Amino acid sequence: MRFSQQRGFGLTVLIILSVEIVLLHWFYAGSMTHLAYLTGWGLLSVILLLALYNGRKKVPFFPLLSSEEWLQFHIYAGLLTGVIFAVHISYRIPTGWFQGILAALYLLVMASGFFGLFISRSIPKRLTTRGGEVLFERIPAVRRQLQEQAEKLALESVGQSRSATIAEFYLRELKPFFEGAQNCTSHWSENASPVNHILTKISDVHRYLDEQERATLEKIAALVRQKDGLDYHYAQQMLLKLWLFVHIPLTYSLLVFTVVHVTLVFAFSGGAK
Amino acid sequence: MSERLPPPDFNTLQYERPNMKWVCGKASCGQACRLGPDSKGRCRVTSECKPAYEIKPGEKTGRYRCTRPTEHGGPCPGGPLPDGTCCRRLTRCAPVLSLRAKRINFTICTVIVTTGLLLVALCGPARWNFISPGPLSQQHSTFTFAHRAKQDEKGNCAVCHTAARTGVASWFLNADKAKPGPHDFRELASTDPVGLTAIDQNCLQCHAGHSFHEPNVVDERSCGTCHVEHQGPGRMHSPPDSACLACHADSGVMQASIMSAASLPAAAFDYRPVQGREIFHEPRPRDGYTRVVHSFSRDHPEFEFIADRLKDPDTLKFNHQLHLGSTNVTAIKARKLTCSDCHQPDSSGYHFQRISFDLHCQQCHSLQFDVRNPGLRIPHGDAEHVRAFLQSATAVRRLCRRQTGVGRPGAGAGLRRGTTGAAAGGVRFGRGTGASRLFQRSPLGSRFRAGRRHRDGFGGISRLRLLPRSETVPYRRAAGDRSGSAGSLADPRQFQPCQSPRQRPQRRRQGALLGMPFGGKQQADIGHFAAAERNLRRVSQPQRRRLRKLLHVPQLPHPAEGFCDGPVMLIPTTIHGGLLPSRCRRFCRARIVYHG
Repeated sequence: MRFSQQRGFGLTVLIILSVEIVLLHWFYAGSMTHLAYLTGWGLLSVILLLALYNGRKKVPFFPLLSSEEWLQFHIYAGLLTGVIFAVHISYRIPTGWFQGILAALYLLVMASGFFGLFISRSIPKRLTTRGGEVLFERIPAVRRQLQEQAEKLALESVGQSRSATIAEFYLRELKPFFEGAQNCTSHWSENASPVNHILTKISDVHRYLDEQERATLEKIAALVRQKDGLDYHYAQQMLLKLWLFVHIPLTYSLLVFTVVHVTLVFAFSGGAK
Repeated sequence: MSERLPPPDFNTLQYERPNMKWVCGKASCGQACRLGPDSKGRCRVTSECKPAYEIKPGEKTGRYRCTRPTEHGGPCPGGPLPDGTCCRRLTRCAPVLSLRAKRINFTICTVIVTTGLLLVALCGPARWNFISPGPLSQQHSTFTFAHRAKQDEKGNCAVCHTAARTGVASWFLNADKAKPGPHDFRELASTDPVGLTAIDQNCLQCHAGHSFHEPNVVDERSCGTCHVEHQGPGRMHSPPDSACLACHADSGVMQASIMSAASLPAAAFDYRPVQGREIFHEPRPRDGYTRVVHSFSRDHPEFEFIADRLKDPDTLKFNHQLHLGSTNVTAIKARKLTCSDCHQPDSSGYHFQRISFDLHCQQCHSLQFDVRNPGLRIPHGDAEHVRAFLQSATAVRRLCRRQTGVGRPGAGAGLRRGTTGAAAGGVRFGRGTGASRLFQRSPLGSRFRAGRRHRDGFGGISRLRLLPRSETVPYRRAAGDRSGSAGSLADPRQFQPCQSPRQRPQRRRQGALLGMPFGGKQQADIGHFAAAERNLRRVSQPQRRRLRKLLHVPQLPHPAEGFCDGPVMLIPTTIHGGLLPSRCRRFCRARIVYHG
């Protein structure tokens, strides 16, 4: 099944289920006294299923659908929880501290999920457009290679032209740039001004160099561009991992609150509505 | 953005292990060691390789060979040391957690912090506020509720929620014992009406026998089915239509209710708690409220109150805003009134005592109307008493005539008989009453004339009106007067003649200017004088002086400052249904003076 077909199927099922849930809630709201309990249990069940996706990734050997199929289910089931949540709270903003925090946690998990969905759909396209694909774990090693190459070029220029202009320029301006990941926030916002600033400095140095040094500096400028591309990959791939630092912990906090919520509801309602 | 970059070169033979918990400390510098840390995060490296000992054929003693792999540079030129160790020793690193391991740790920390905060909140002193799903309605925020909560010593929640009487640890057991419990899905999904639950037993302690509903209920339904609490302050939310229709749309249930009502005494339907209040009761229909209704908008009958055009006869409305916020009240009490100044709990502590005029109102709203006769007060609370009191003016006049000689024909010091009260502002009495006849025969009475228009039906004084010019008429209690009236009108000779008919149009204009509606025909009250005062400020000084002289508009002091000394008589004149209008009560503190 192609991705577009997959998306169409998922959205259709989601819309049908949502409409059904809303209609059933409207129809049974008067006759079923404990409807809120049922919608609550339904919501908790779906949330638990969603949370299982993280566990599924930990047991890749288990023959339970592919990770891609789990992800699709995770996305559409997550959207469905929004509808169940709305009917569970009867379309009212919860009052009270506990219920307010519980609702806020759910909304934060939902919002972080939307953010994750957005960046997991948009960042790969950006990375492909930019080129220079590299595994996240290998980025430090590649960065080290680039740094060594740049340092080597700078040192060689001293012997070739008997001038330390490039070496001094490297030490002063380029060494911090090559040493680690730089300009993450600029890369998140697709802002190229930091690397343009460095390239401008490099072009400014051109007037003080001879032909041989200029060729060397051009090579260094190419390394700067590669390093900037590497930083871009690092920043974007880091964002793909960082959003989970919000989504997963909040999910477990939500589950803890939910357990207490279920306990409080049954302990204090005494069977009442 | 910029041009598309080629993928960088890297050693594809080097396998990355992102699932490992620990990574080499030098990995961030791009110099990760080949071996990597162990599962407990300890660095294992000693040297770049572990030389292998080889014995070639034909040799007795072998030699060590460097085993550094090709991807790390291949065999080193120096080779192993004679003792078989690698010549290239490595410095140990401090392994760091992988990003995934950091995320797991962060998640665990978050869950621990969340649980800890929850425990602090649930075990702390503010736990009831924390777990409360919303403020209670005003019906359940009363002193009665607070008193019950104080008795329980477990907080407000324990009044209704049994679980609140136990500790946090017992809540799980309570949740498991709930009916329906967390696992009774069949019962949770049931559409049958819910009977009385555990929490309803606590409701019934105050609302015994469905005291918030007609008593002929045939199904024992849970209170919470219709009356949902914790929906915010203010009045409790009305039950949804669906809750009403659960019974009222069922003809069988309604028929059973009619049968049930037949066996109940009529007093049982007077179920609303009175609690010292006068409640207006509309007459109950013969079959009660048992008409089958399927939809409020479609076939719900018109409410009886509207359909029969019923009206609550009690027109007395208490202005809380005025009493709690007015500067006048503050001046009288030297502080602002508070709720507890009037609303005081009864001995049981469950309800409030009834508001009493003597205890709560009289301090400010005295019925005394003559400073020289402080004991003379208009009776309060019973219209008949007030009428009788006013009729006692007859006795007053009689005593006055006996003591002063006034009342004999011709002794009236120039008082004219038959002056039209409306124009002259005279005092009028009801025609045909004893008071009227007596006054008509006396010099004092010659100034007044009974008018048909001004009969009030009470058989007594109908109105006291503004007089154009007058003097103080003191009250004096006569010796031996046991007539029940508190005093007598004395020395009516001090009255001046009324205006002539020619002066009437002028008086009307001036009266209108001075804030007296209907050209001065309206009875005098403090509001008119206040309006007159306001109007006088708008006119020029000479005109103001002339008007003052003409009309003797008094400078009314505030009641808190004492009684008025000016030549003003302020008497509660109009009696509406036996209730003294609030404005009249204010006059009672002023001295009785006939004003001209």
